[in-house]
Amino acid sequence: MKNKFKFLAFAVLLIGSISACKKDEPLPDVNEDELITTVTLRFTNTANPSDVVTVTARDVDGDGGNAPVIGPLNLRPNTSYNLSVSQILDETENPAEDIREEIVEEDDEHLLVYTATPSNLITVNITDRDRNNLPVGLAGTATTGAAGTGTLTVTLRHQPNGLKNGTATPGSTDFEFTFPLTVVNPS
Amino acid sequence: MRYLLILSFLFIFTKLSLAQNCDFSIFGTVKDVTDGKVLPGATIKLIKENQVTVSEIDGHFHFYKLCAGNHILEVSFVGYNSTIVSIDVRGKADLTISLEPTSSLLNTVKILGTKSIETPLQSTAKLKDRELALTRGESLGESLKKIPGLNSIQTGPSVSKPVIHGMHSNRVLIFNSGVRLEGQQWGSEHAPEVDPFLANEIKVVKGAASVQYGPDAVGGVILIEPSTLNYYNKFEGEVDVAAMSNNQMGALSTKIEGSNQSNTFAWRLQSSIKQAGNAKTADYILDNTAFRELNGSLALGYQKGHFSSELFASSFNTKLGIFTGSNIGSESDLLAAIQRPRPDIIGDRSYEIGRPYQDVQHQTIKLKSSYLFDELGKAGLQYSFQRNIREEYSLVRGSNSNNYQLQFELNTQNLDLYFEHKPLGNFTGKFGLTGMYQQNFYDGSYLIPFFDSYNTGAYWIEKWSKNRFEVEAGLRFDYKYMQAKLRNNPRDNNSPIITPEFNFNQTVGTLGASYLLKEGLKVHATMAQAWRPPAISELFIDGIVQAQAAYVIGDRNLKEESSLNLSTGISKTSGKFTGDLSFYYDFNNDYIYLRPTQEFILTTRGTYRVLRYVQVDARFYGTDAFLAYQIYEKLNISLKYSGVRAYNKANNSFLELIPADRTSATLSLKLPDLKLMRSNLLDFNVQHVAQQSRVNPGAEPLLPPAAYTLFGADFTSNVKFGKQILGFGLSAQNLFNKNYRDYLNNFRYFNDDLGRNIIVRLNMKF
Repeated sequence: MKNKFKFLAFAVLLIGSISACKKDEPLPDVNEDELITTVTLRFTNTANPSDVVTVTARDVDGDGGNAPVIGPLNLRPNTSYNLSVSQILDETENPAEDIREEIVEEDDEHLLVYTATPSNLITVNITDRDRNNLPVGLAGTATTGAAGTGTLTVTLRHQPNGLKNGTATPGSTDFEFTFPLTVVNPS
Repeated sequence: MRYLLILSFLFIFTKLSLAQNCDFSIFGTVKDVTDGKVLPGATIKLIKENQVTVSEIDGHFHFYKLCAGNHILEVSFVGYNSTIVSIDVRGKADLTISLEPTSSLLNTVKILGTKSIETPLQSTAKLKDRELALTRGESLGESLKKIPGLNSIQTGPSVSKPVIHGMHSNRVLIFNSGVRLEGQQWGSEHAPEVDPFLANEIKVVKGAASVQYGPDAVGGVILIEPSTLNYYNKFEGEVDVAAMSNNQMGALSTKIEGSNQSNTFAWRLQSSIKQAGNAKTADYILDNTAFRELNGSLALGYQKGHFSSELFASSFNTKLGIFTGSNIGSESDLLAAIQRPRPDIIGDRSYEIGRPYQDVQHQTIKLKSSYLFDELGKAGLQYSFQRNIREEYSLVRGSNSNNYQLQFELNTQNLDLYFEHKPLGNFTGKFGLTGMYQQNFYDGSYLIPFFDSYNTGAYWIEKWSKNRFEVEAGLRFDYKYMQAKLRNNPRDNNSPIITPEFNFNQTVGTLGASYLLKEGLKVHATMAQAWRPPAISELFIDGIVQAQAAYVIGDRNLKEESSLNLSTGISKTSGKFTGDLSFYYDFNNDYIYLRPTQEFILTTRGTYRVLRYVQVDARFYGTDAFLAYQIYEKLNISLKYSGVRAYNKANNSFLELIPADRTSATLSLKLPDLKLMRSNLLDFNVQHVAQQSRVNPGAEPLLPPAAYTLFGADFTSNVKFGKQILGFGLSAQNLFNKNYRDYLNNFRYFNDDLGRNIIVRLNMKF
């Protein structure tokens, strides 16, 4: 009989010690590690450096919630611009986390891809190169065609594990923004 | 009142052609002497060989592969005196002896109680002995595929979940050593946190069974049962080793157990370790599919007089890599992956686990006590605590390389109180109360909220048996209260915190009957209900599910899902021709499922299709068949078939991810004994899986994969190694290294399924 109680007492003690309560735990802060909320492109007219156009895509509440706010982008026809991606941020962090810097550090794992619709609306040539002499896409030149409307899609491809080969195919998408693009002479 | 225990034995002796006779069998039935009623659940132990079995639902038990000579059987059963029976197994060739029940075996005892209703009358299946031994080292999901009607839903080679009659996850309940397993089972890529090495037997109840097992038992129940603690052996142990060629896996399981001098205290210590490298398809290695697992458990038992108590503690820990090629960021990534004939990342032979991976821990502690009241029956109390911690690490940029992206912690406490009344006339029965309290927390990204939930239930089941008839009926009521805690917009820190509350309840019943047409031939029919409250993910999920490349949205207005399962079957367990045939029809009302919509959601990674949880009235029906025929003494052939159909009644559309028809055949050959190798058994098997043609056009990004046929072989033998007998097994799966993909593999979009796998297994008892 004595043994029985010892055994029970031991068991109850063991159970008591593991089921310690944590009922009023606060909700964790919103933490979307891989989130990119904000991308800004800067177009500088090569013929007239004071003619600078910037355009931003932003979705500060992440997936779901409010939809991203993108652009619009307005450029002159038949004009050559220097293109730079001036901001890639995670604005859910305070201060905002600079993702652009991380991409510069890991330039051999990233590629920005520019796709115009229709394709003759704007042509982007990537000029920067990573440590393996493959394109990165944070800098380039953009040449507009005849006046028209369409879109410019900018995609950041994450291509780790030696996948990067200079094409868009391998890896996965970190962000993809489609900017409404209007190519027109300013009135 | 004085009752008596009677044993009736039927011996069937078979003899092999060589001089060594180690292929005898003992069959028998355990009965109550007073009324001849069969006694399911009695323990029968072969003392010298240290083999233990439990009599089945019809009181039947058997031991195979016994050598000629004197054997001592100890038969024990709660409420009856243990009986020792000595049998001289030295029959002549092909001799069949039937023994009538004799009074010489009688022992006069006082009844103390009766065995509980172990499994319901509906279709059940078991994996044990050789069949179970041939799954050692495999995951639970893979092991159970041997049973007709069971499948597994996979996420690459390292994650596998059991599917019963086309249902899985929240519709399949798993009991591990008597504890209802509670993890994040809503995810199809969340494998059950159990160590199959712990099992002495795996039982499967097919179909709805909420009365016996509680809410969520809609598709069925899986019971992982360790052998009962042995109070009569001072010390013994067992070692299992398995090695696989495909992923260069090694697995080791050890078990030691013993008891004290006075047979009042028993203990068991068990542990297993597995380490696997990258898996291989017929043509290439799958990058980052390595995994490792470390498990352990301790059981302590105490019994004296009418009191018995058991403490069980276990720990399950795994880290498993997820195939890198499955990492997609958008719907266009998925479409691109589908287009590739082979993944763009090919792995090499390695045990390294990189991102993405899962790290899962599951701890269980259980205390179970029971007391036998002379005139009333047995009362029991079981308490258990489980802690489940799941961390998921995605492929991220360097700066985040130390953090998990998702973490869940689920703490569950269960309290079960039951009473098994002593037989009243022809009735045996059990009633009880259950309670469960859960707390869920998360960290990292939002997928499901915090919640607290309380469940209570009450049930009563009675079984009436007379002669060849058995009737079972039961009733159960369950209630669940849940309060969630989350931000109104889960991804906005400034959004207000809300705490929505939910109440779910349902009353369910079961009615079943079986009739023994003649010895070994039985028919049964059952009507059973089940229900489940909506899972937390179905209510609250709001985000991108990578595996689906879609944006999934839950619905907080979902209500209970309820199911009525009708099934009937016939089974034949003796004679040249044996088999098991069953048919079922499920009425699943308010079946919760994920429906693709025409909505799209714009995110920073492009546009995603929206999938929403909705409720429809679904119907499932199908058949499971197992037929075996002994062509002649040493040659057996068996066939298995399972087919399931499922559709949405409202518009007659098909349900997604339903297993395709599966047919398999096995040819078993008993080989002659060699000097050092006994009980040599060689099987060849072939399995054909059809293409799932019952899909809705356009609902999935890709048509289900083509049909495939795989070949395999198994050889087992008992090898004499000095004084030891070593169980040896050599198996080949996908013998011809066939290239194929399976519809139930979430990674069918990305890579081929596994290529050839050669497995060596050793088992040693000491």
